[in-house]
Amino acid sequence: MPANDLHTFFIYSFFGSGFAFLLVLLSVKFFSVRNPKQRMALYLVGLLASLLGYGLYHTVLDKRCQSGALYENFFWRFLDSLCLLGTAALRFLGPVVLFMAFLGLLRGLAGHIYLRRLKGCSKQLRGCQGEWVEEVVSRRCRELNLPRPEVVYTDHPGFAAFVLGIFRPAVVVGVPVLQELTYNDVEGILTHELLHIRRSDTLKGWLLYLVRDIMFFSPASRYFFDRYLLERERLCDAETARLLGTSRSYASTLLKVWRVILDGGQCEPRFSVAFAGKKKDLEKRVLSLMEGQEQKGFPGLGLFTLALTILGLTIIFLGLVC
Amino acid sequence: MRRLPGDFKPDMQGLSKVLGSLESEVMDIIWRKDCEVCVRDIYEYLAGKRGIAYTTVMTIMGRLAEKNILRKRKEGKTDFYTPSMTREEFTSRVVANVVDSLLEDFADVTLAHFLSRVRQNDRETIDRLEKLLAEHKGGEGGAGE
Repeated sequence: MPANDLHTFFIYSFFGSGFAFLLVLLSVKFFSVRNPKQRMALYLVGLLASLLGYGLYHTVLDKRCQSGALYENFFWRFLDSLCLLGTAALRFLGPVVLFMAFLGLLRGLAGHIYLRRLKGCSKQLRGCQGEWVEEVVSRRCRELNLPRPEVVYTDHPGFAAFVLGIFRPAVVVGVPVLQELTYNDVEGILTHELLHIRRSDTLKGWLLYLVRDIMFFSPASRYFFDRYLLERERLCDAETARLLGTSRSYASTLLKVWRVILDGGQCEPRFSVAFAGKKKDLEKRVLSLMEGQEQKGFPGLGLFTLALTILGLTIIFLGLVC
Repeated sequence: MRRLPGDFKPDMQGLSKVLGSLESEVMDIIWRKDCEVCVRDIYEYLAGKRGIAYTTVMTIMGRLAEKNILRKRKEGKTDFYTPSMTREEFTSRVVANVVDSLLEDFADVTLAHFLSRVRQNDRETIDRLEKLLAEHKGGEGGAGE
């Protein structure tokens, strides 16, 4: 494929994701899609639709400019001007896109290095918290039919736990916060993290970060990606609550960990003011657990049809654009 | 987010990158003395070079003890301080913390946090949600019940 064929990448990504943004937003609101798994699917469709269209028009289908379908009225001349815009974008944004893709790959490597450093400093945690961690991880892995991941302890403050690593993720546990928690809290936190491992969320997240970063010039792609991450957490929260047998107690754990981190003084400085009415992600997670919205699902066939419709309309729109 | 034993200031020199200027001066003295010291020892050393109050030195050393950079031992009415780590150990720890912080931020795409983006003004939100949770009539039960 000649390099100048890549000019449509910018046009497709920008307009395609914008078009898909409208469709997905309207669908979520109109059909009251609340189930996090279904919302994730729709946000994923929104994020990938423009790339899929780009792939189709460079392989199976023809671009309008190549097929000779050039019409002589204002509307079509406007669309032709987008071709010129795309060619200009290729010259300036193309290197940036390549750099972002390279950066994304480096970040995967950085994660691996970080995990090795944490493992190097990890010490076995003695006392009841250490026993709780080992017991919960072993038991949950048996229940979830999951190979037991490595547990890494660190004395860095400011977090309870996270999963790190793309291909063989480990659970990293923050000892200072852990020491403030009860057995039930520890069980909730570790169950949540193990569910991330079962879902291969770090691998999927890294790949989607790459997709988002190569479409960095499209604000809609950032929106879809952020929403996807939120729904990912809500999904793991819902599943954790189901495994624990209580959503209220787990919501209480979320709030407790939130407060422990705040009291420890390890918080992010506030650089911007949220728009009025915009709820924080943590707040949405807790409210979801309290309200039990996650179980309200759109019929499976209906969701598939909806997703396919959004995808199809976006690709048709892209066909009109170029 | 990770806290160093002080805020990291890349534009400053030496120990001042992570400690206040007075803190780094005090630590420099204590490391060079390489023995147990009390507030008066450090005050007399510093007072000879600059105008400084005794209580200022006392506060600084107390703060360093809270950060676990100094160990404090009380004997009668006097507090004695020793460094909890050597200068080299401290420097290594600072470097390690900075590197780990940078790696964590750079490698965030390969992380799945349990809780992230905790902001300083979240306290009111937590209070409100805890109140809602206490009032919530769902009670104990499985998700979605």
